Amino acid sequence: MNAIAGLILFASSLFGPPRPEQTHTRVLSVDIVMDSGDQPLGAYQVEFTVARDGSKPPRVMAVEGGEAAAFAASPRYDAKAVRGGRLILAGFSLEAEENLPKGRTRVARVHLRVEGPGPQPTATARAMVAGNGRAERIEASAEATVAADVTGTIGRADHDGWGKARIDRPR
Amino acid sequence: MDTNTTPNHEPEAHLPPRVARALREAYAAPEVPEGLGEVLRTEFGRHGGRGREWRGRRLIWASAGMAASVLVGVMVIRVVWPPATVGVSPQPLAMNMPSTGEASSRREMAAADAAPSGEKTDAAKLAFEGPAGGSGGAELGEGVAVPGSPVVAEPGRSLADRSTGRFGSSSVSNVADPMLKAALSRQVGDLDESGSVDVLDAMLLAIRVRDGLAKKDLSGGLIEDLNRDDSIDRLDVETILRQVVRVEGAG
Repeated sequence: MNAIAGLILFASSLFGPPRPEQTHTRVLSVDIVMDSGDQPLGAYQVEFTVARDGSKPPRVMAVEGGEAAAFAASPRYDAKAVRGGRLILAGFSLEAEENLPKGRTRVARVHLRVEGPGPQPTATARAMVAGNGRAERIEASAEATVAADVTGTIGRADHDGWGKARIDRPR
Repeated sequence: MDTNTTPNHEPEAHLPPRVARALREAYAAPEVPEGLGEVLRTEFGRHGGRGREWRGRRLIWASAGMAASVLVGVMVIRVVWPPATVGVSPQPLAMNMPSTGEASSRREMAAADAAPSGEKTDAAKLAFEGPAGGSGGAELGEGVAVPGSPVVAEPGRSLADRSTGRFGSSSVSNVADPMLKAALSRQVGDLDESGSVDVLDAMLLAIRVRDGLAKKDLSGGLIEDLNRDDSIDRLDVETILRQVVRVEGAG
């Protein structure tokens, strides 16, 4: 009887659920910064791309809004494209022109999940279109800058994306 | 009491002659035993005669058989008389435009008037089909399964291609009239007429909705009513935004 119980225990250890696998995971936060010069920025549409040599692109975990109150809400993006390495971010504000940001301003922050060791992902942003408070087209540029690069070890089976990683965000 | 009448053997009278004869032979009796005959009559009436009970498996098999028969019949009819080809018109006049039949007719007349008299028919067709042999029609969506094939207008259809969710554009490079060309080449949702649908169009519509300035299109339809719910509101703005941020091939 004991032998049978031991055999069952041994078999369950072989075919049971896998133990949580420890994986090397990094969280990369990328700021999307628009520069509209002396024009108030009322709308923007940015193409954001991220790539990594030799592996699949990092997954977009979340997209935050910007620093200005006019763009504090999260921009619009295609939720189905979070794994593809390319997003189109768009947002506009109906605030009065005096409340719209001018010059360089962060309009969004993209949080990426980078799995496993490997080279640093490269993120780029390209301004597709920008407008002022009256929805008129203006000249503006966009750039992507790394705001935080957090290295942590997250259990694959029990992670919630942020659980055991410590994130230092710039104040 | 009448004693001369032939005794009426009730069970045998209700049995088929072949059954009664077989029973008489089996029991070596001149008549079918009374009790046995009653049982047989009842059972025959329930399961063997015309009054069969349609229950249980019998009902299932009978229904399946009838359905199969109907299906085979329909297939035979379709083979013998093939249905008429759907969506093919000898005179394609309009593409998948966001308008009623009346508006389409106005465009047809305008296209015909824009061309010299001898080329009216060809010009009208070009205006709505794009260049001959080109893929102008093929960009328009679900009504265009075959590239280069004419697109037949269907009143009340959505402006956007339902399979891809994208707004279509037309190739109208052969139209001579600049105003007509501009009107035909305008993309749905391109409110600022910049040639493309972008976030500025969504913002422009949002401003119009906020200020109550949402206007009707000259063709009679609500050009900003992109989701076709007969009202111009923030849902139409959302429709444009979804289109703007959509990434091809995602998901």
